[in-house]
Amino acid sequence: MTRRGLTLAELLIALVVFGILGTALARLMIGNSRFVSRQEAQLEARQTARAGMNSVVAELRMVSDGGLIAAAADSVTVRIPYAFGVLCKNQYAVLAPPDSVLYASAVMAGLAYRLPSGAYTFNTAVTVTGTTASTTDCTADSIRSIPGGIRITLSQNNLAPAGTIFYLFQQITYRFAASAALPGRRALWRRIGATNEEILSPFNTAARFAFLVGSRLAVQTTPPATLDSIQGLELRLVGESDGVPSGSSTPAQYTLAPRIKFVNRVLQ
Amino acid sequence: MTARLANTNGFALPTVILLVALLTVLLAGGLSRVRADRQVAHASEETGNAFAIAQTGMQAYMGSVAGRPADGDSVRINVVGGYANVVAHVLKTPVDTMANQLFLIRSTGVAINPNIGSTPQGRRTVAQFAEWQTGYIERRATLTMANGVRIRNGSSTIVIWGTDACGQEPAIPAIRTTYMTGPPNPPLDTVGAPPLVQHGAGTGLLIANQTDVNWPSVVGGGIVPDYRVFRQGDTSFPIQLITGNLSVGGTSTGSGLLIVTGDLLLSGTSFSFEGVILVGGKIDFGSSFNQVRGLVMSGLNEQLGLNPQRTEISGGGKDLHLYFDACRVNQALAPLTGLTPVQNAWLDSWAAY
Repeated sequence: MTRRGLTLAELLIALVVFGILGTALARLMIGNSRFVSRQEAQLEARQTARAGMNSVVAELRMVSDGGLIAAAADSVTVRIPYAFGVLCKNQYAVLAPPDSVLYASAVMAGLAYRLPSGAYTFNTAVTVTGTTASTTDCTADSIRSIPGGIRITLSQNNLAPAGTIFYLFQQITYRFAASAALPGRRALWRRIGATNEEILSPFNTAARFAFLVGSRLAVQTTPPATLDSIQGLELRLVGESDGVPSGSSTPAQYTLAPRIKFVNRVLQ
Repeated sequence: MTARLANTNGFALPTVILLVALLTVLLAGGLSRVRADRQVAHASEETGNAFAIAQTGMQAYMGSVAGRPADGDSVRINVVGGYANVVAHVLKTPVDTMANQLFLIRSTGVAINPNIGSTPQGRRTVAQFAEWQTGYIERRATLTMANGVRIRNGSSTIVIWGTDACGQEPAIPAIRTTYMTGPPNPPLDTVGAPPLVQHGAGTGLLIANQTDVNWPSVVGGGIVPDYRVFRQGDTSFPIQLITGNLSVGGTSTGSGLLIVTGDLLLSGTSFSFEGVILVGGKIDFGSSFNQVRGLVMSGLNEQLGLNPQRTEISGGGKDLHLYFDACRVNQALAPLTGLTPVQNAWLDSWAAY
């Protein structure tokens, strides 16, 4: 039995057809690959920005008068409440039920008590020396403990009249600085006491803090000379993807800019 | 059909199957990542919704409580997109039953998107210190001036009565102050409980404190006013809080609770008011005809450690008529009864209890 071979013309036509189809398919695959790569990079950038927002907003919202103690475009230092309560007489106080994990891990930097005007006075020398089961000193002032609350003893007596609202605070510095995990990139750092941790990266160099100033909450990119006039912060979280998506020369970016009003602040 | 075509195994089908499988895997992977991202975004959005629901529930509760809540009072408030569980706990019950009780109000917002299911998609707890205010004010005199008073002699009529014009409460002294020039000419027309005029009744701080008005709290935002301007001609007894000085001229009438953190300067043809006037600085009764039915206090800035100027009662045909009226006092203070948030005492991400 004889088999017929392919003619040169048939072979050439087949090659051309396969070439056209192959090129089209390759372009399709490359385009699709780049699209997927860009989308993945966008997802990474978005997740970085969003995670940054979630971790910072809840803490900053509770800042009170005198709670912002240093501010720059790339960093802020704030006193963040982690437990609220009411002072009793002598060295006793009752705390409303705090978040147990936060309370256990907090690094206390001091106590702030509320003046009748609504402003707070800060005392960084006082410490919590322990807890007490005794209710005498508080009930004598008609102060009750909420179920789940904690009765504590302080290192100083009679900081303010019994019945005064107070909170225990941590001093936290948020800073955009060079990343240790991703060299050459920027990260959001969080310092509490002596512990400095990189909580999120990578961010673009455009990531920074802006400041809401005055009763109209006007946005300023540089902090005013008087920090007392700052009523809140704008977080400009410009997240980046870990890598550079194919077909691009720079990492993908995603910007979130939540504005956080300090709720426990006397509006001026 | 030729033998060539019949005996040659094709590769089109395996190729297509391979390509379809490859594309399916790529598509599934991509969809999976997009879905994960959407879930993160959705969770973030629902947490934000839960926060808004918690705040809404808190405000709805505080605005709707008619009577002083019992310790542990709890209520579920349904709002669009979910519900809020609100609990009120007493933190301080003063021995003085007229003093304000201190509460901690906790609100847990639960966000439910019915398109996804009945399972809560977001949950957030906030809390707020609040006071139960009774709206009571100590009635020690019709005109209390912790800053003293200077009365200028002249042909004026000065009538200050401490008898209750609506006949519900016992009579009170007409004037209580630290210092008063005198005796005025013509003499004061005073009626009420003896001593009708208490001057030299103590230091300015003592007299200001004995009013039981928590002036630092008032100045610091402890009272949420209906208006921040003087409501000329308003007869609905609103709360008016003016920061700084207030000048009122012409022919003016008003009612309610008028709070002026600075000085109250009256001028013009007449000024008539029904209710309670609380002034941090001095009052200059400089209108040709000044009349208040209710209660008047000045110099409350003594509580802030300030030294306000003396109140002025002008002579020269500028008449003053002040009448204690318990009904109008109670009407002016009625809006203050209820749960009022303690300013700057708000808690986020609080433990549920």
